[in-house]
Amino acid sequence: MTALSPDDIAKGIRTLPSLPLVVLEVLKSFEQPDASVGMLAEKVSKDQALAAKTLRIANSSFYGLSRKVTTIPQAITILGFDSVRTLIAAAAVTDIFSGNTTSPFDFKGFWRHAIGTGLCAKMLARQMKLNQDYAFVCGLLHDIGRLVLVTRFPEQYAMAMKYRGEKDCYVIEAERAVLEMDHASVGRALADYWKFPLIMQKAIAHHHNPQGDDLGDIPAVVHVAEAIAHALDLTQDDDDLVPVVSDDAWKSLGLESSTFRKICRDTEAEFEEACQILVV
Amino acid sequence: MINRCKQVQLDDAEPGMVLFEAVMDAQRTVLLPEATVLTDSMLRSLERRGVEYVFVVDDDISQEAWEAECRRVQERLDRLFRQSRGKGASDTLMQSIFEYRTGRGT
Repeated sequence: MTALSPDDIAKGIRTLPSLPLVVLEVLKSFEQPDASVGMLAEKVSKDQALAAKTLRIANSSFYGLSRKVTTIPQAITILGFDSVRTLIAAAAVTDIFSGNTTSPFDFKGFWRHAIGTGLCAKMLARQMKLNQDYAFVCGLLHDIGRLVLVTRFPEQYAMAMKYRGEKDCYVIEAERAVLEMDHASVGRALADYWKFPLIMQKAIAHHHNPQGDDLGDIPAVVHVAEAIAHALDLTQDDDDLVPVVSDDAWKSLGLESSTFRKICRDTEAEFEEACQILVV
Repeated sequence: MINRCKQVQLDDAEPGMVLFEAVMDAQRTVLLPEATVLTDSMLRSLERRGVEYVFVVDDDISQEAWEAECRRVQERLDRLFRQSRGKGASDTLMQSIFEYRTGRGT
């Protein structure tokens, strides 16, 4: 029996490490214009492992800093609050799911697609005057439900991936056929369990079918960004499939062709380096 | 990769080159529309406005090689979009990526 019930999923999610409270506060601050930078910086600094990983990324060549940053407040002064809280969120979540090397699941490919989607969401958000760093985080985590499935239910998920290969169908179709469950609903359950802020919950839950109030906002951006990331062939997987793009979501972004080309160029320009610093 | 759209640094841009893409400032106001044939005075004006690079039509590529590249890109896109053709805005996305990769169609 390979079907998974909502109860199985809830149990699986409860066995995941909890998200450090400070990370949740960092994520919530994206939706709080009056968030206190100083207080968050102080809290993050107290989580030594998280602070160290954040600083390591901040000091990588990606940011091209002329001198090393050694504290979180210093990183915020130099890189800005938006960039640093993005780094903190990315560092924390990638840590929780850092790959199991014996698994046949392609964790590296997973993160490359996640990073491509995050970067493209960032470029789209920039054009639309939405918060580009928040869009990056939402794009990075849009498929997080797949990580729950592959780490908590590896045998069942391997069956679903085998089905996908045989039928040449979408991952989400294979999951529904084999598991009677899909990564968008699992992602929604995890986002709820970790109490992610609302926009992020929607971006994860609706990335295959954005709803009316997602249009023109970050969830629609993530939906389109994911399709562009596949279409740009960023993961170079021969069997890759571009998901169906919602007409409403596409129109809600109002992309002109020169803007579209700029988004593709900027995404490709930052892609390899972002992968090097974020994929461990 | 052979693309009819070529990025050139402003220092390397020459009069007679044709803009593939409009030149815009940071506020996205069009300074020069696409298909403009660049002149000396235009280049000086772009320099004064701090424009660092422009996208021009690349006339040096061989037509034959470019056609082959267009076919290669289209084949790969046909494969990537094999389940989404004709659905939602997928065809628009595919066409946009094709134009981005080859510089054809605009």
